[in-house]
Amino acid sequence: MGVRAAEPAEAAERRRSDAAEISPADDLAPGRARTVLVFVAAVLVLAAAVVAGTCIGSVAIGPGAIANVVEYHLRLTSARPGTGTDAIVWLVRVPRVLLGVVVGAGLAMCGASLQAVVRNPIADPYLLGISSGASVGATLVITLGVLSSLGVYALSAAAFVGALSAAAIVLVLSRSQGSLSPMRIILAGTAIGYACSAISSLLIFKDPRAEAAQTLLFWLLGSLAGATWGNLWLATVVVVAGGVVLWAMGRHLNALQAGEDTAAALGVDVNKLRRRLLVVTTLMAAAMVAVSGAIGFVGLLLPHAARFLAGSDHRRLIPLSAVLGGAFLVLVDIGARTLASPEEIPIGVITALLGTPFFLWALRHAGRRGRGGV
Amino acid sequence: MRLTVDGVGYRIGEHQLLEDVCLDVPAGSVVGLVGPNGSGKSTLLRLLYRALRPQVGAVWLDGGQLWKLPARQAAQQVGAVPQEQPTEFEMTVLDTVRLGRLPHQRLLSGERADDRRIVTEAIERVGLTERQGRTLSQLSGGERQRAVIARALAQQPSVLLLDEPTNHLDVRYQHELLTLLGRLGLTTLVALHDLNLAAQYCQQVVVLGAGRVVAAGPVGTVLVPDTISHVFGVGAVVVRHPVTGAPQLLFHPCNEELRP
Repeated sequence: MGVRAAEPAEAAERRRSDAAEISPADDLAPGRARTVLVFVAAVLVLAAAVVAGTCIGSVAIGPGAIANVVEYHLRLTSARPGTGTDAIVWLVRVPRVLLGVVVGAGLAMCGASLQAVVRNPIADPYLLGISSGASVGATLVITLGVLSSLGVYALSAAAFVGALSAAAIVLVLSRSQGSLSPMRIILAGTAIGYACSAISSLLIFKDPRAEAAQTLLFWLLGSLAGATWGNLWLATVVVVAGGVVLWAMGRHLNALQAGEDTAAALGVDVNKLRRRLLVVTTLMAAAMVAVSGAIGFVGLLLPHAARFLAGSDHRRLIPLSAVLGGAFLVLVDIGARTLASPEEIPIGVITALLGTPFFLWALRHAGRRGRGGV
Repeated sequence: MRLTVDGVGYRIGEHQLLEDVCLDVPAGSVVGLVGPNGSGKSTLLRLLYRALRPQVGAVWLDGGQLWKLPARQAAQQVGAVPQEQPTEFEMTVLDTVRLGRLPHQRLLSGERADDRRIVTEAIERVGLTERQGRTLSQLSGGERQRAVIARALAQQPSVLLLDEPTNHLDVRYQHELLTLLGRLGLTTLVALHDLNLAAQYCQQVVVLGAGRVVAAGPVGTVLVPDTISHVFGVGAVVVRHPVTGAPQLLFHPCNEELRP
């Protein structure tokens, strides 16, 4: 690191003695201890949320009975649980709670990454018009019966294709002289979002059936009610694979967050990195929208909560966002199932209702402490 | 390591931002890059820290071409302090400086003891050890600039490029910062707005005007009244600094009638 000869001897001496006192490991220790603490707490909250989510519902089931069902299916015990309890726990609640964990985690990781990719704190997983693209796909299924040969999977498949198409159009529109500018991404995403909303609205408006609008609305606001072991596996594979990529890119996300020129000077190919991250997050978000609708606010909010707790190093931020996002969505889903029982409230309504005050509180708090992401 | 720019050009559409730029930064020396607004200083530096690829010409690091290296290897040789707004997302000094290790780390590798030591040293070098837990927005302008320099130092580069690092800094911090640059012993190319700072702290100066090198060489031969009035459109008188002995410039409007 350069020549130190020009430095006065006393300064060099002082530095040597400082170096002896503060070893590099100690230096980083306080931040590290705090991070570990935050992670442990977050994982405990997630575990508690999962247990609560499986116990609470139209029929309350004790943790002992739940444990019995799970152990039975994992072949850890031969004690057969009651058929009714077994069906509720194993076929309905467990997949639903786990889907909540996966989707919550996935949305929060996507949001955290995209906020760094476009250097904008209000970016969310649907930045590239994914939710409105998915809604066009879903509307086509609901109103015109497109893809009806796929049966129950028609809605998911159409939503997935719609989401990817919208994102592809946005990406093409955002290219300018071979590079992707954040401003163009945001503007193109917004424009395509409006266009897609207009198409869905027109299709719904033209449809004589009143329930068409209701179906679409419910689906658009998001729900974990469609959880099955089948779509849970699918979502898990996509979210875990994508999450690992995003975590591995953590340091590159840090560089991108610091700025394009800074990233370039640190040896990052900015355009290639942006393109890759956009493709990964788009696939993740499209898969999640396909299984659970466009659940809002999780991907926008939880990354900020994570930044507030552990700073904005993405090596910490991505995993912490995942844990917090999963816990949050499971807890919110408990509310969605029970608050207006036997009716279900769309989960997006609750994420927004709970999220907004929390967000505003965090905003004030972060401003006062001068820490955190917002 | 010696940095040589050989016939580099860059244009966007009709605008020729740089044309046939040649310059030489000898190993371990501090060279100032001066010129009026829009003369191409930032563009030239961006070509050197690889944010932009030159359309013609070559950049040499000793005997090797900078743009033929993989991006990561280039970043191990060349560190930069760009002129960039800090992000909306708060980063601490420590996290900022740790970024500098990026070109030395593999995708999945953790942070090694070596990385930590180098980061700690870089922070110490710029005198921010006590503030490493602070976020950049909690620092003064001078401290923030030093944090960014520490990030570049953590890259362990042989060549350091700085784009107007003294902007918005109080006089004291301007001088502190340039003194620090002199002590680093790196091959340094620094774009400066203030000609007198360049005259005092740089061994050589390169003057850019409208995307071309107008003059280059030792301060005394380059920062002369003729060149100044030609490039900057302002009259200048050269005096000796009574304390440091460096040449310093006093400016006056070009128009003869305005002179007292």
